[in-house]
Amino acid sequence: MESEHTLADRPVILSVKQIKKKIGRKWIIHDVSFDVRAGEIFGFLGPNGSGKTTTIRMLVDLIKPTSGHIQVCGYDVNRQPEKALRFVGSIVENPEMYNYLTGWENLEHFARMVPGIDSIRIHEVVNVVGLTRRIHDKVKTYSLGMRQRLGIAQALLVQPKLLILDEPTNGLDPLGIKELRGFIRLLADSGMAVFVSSHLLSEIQLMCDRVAIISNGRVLAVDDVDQLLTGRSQYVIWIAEPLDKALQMLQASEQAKVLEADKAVIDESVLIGLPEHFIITETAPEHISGLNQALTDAGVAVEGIQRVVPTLEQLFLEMTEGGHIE
Amino acid sequence: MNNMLALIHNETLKVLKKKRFYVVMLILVILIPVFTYAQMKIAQNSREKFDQDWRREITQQITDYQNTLGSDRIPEEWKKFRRIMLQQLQYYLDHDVNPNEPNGVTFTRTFMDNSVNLFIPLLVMAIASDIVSSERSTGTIKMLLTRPVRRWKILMSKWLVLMLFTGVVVLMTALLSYLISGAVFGYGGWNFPLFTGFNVSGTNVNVEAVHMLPSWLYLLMQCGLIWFSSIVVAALGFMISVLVRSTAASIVTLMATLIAGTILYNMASAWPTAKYLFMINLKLTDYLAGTPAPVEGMSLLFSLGVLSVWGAAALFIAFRVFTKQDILN
Amino acid sequence: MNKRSGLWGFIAAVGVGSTLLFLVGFGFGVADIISPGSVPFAEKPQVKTPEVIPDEAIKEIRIVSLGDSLTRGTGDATGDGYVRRTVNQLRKVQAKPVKLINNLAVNGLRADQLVDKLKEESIGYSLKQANVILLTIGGNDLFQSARSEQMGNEPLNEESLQAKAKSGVTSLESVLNRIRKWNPEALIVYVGLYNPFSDVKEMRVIGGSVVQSWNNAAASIINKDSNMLLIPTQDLFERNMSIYISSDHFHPNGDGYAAIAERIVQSMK
Repeated sequence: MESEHTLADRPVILSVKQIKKKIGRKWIIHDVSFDVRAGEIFGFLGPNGSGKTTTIRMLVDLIKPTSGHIQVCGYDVNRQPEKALRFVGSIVENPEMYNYLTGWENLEHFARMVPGIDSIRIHEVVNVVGLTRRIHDKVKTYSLGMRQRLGIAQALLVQPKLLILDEPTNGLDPLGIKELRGFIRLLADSGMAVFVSSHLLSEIQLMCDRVAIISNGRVLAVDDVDQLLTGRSQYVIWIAEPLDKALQMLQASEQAKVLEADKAVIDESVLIGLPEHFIITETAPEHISGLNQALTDAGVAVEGIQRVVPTLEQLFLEMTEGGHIE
Repeated sequence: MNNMLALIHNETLKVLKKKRFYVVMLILVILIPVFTYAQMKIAQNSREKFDQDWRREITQQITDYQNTLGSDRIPEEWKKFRRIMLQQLQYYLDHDVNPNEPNGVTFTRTFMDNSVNLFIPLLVMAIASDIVSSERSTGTIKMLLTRPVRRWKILMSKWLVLMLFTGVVVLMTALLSYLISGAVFGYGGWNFPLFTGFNVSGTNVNVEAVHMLPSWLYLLMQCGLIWFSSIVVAALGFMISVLVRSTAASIVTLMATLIAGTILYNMASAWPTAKYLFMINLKLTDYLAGTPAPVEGMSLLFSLGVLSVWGAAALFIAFRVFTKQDILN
Repeated sequence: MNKRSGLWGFIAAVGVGSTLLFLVGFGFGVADIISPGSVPFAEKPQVKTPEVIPDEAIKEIRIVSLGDSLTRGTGDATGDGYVRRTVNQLRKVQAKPVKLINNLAVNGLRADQLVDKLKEESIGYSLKQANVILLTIGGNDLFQSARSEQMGNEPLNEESLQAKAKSGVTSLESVLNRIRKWNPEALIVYVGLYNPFSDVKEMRVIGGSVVQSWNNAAASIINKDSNMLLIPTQDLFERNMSIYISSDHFHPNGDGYAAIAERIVQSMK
């Protein structure tokens, strides 16, 4: 693909090479490597406890890796943090700011730590995140969403080349999430490399260009989101009347593989609004219309067909070929 | 350098905005009048008894001390202490100088003398204890340490600010106690002569080296010595603040140490090794006043040495840990 | 904004200023302790004798008491002794106000020690202000060693006791002289000795005769000065030993002190 070609030409902003981390006697991170290039949104997908947060903390020098290298714009994060971190804006976990200061004072505080950031720049980022009205209020009066915005504002303050966001949609309402998604895309289009972590597959799918999947401290795969996720199993939900007849026909068909009505394979959010009984099959998209035709011809009233993305757990099951996720 | 100034600006602002500093000031403003009132009552009592005649008061005090010396029930340590105090009082009397001349300066001097090993350290600890631990307990440390600034620089700015505030706390304690007590006892007495240089050896006081200092100079020396003790206490508080995540836990640790120190101070004579503890050495002003040290053989240089070692070790540990440690939560 | 940045700057400046100030103070302090008198403004002290400003018209009875444990009030559960009781009773019977200036008694003091003590300016300073001086002395001269001997149950040796009494009375004389020197006008009240062993069989007679000779010698000194009083106590305790003596079998108890005080007040009328 052409876009891939241009992507490969872009400079590598963040390079993570075989980092390992041992805390106490336990290896938390076994082997993590990936590159993030300018202008891309890079997803970091893994369930809670997979080593996601530890990895992110290593990216911003909060934790030193036991071995391996992390470089930002060519500078080693752990050896030359004062150079490497100049290019990084980040929110690690929750955007915890000084509660007893106002939003503005918080930004001033962080601005002072980096030379060359004036109040004009602070005004700019406040405007960008839309906090102008409340910026002179104490942070303790802020809602979670406002804190998230303030967090992004402080991350953008330094005009970073790499933006690291840890579970950025936490605490945001659906509208806020959508806004954020658009905003992140805008930043990436302006040439910024954006690193986003999440435990939600759908979020990564909606937001990212490329993704690394981490489990048990190991990166299982790094690839384009489309390649990695879309090429995988395609689940289809059938809602039909009478259901028994539809089930018989689908079971008989070779193009569809009926799955036991195991709801665990599907994200719960997808199930909302569905009737109590339905059929889940694994079906290639090109066969859906044919199957639909056959059902309709047989007098089955097809009331709904829905393609769904498998859950992260399901994806892992397939990737590790039956190995389980802790 | 510019960078460090900006960091110091940040840390100063945070200490001020956290309001802890104002609480410390409030404690002073509330407590000093209480002590002033108590002092005033004592002065009134003696006025009634001795017609404001300090010579008679001191003569009586000396006689009372002499009487306790004869008692078998008084522990030997106390007797030793009293014998020394007695000789000093006699010296003041012989030279016709009132050691307790009632004025704001005398009150300040006495108040500072009594605050050096517990009160001022507690105030300093109140600021020191959360200067690092609060960043950890609120999670802001993640924001702070992901800046393009070396960790030791961040910690150094915090230490410098703590030093500044230690200076301010000592200054404010002296200043407030002068201003508040002066309203009752008068603001004079800056040039009033005081004796120093009592050389205590065993139970005898060698008065050969005794000389007079004006009160203002004595007070300045006293504050200087208290400041040094406070800086060491601040360093220890700073270390604990780095090591302990929760502010409450760090305050409790510090207070327990200090209070244990004041209890130990009275028992130290029975346990000479206690002289290597920092708490036993905080009363540097005793060397100025000629009050005997709690353990035989302690001298100003010894105490300065012990305090310096503790302070330097605390700072070393603080910087070592802070620059190496992983921020896990 | 400006106001805020002003505050931090102000505090930081105060911090720097106080730190520098205290560094100077610390330096001076250390220098002065290590090498006394090396700092500027240090002066060698001069011995000065305070002047007593004479009260233009003394309208009150001003009492200074000095001597040994009896004047201290040892043995009295209330701690008042005969001094405080005398003051209280005088207040009732005298028209003038009564004031206790100082009680300078020291437990265990002997007459010869009191002679030394009376050389001190500060004692003289108090004595000068008095117009009544209460005094007990001598008990320790005679019985200090006897008390310990008594513990060992060894009988008192009359000869050595008489010798002690002789030198003790000499000291008593110089005590009285010295007091008189400090204050030529005050009434000096000397409380005589009693025999604390009058209920101990072996020592009853010996103690009694030594105390008797002490008191006689004291009386002959005191009689020379018209402004001195001897308050006899031997008879008082001889008859009422069990009621007046405290549990240590040496000092009077509260009632004993009260009896002494009563006699003093009566004789001062």
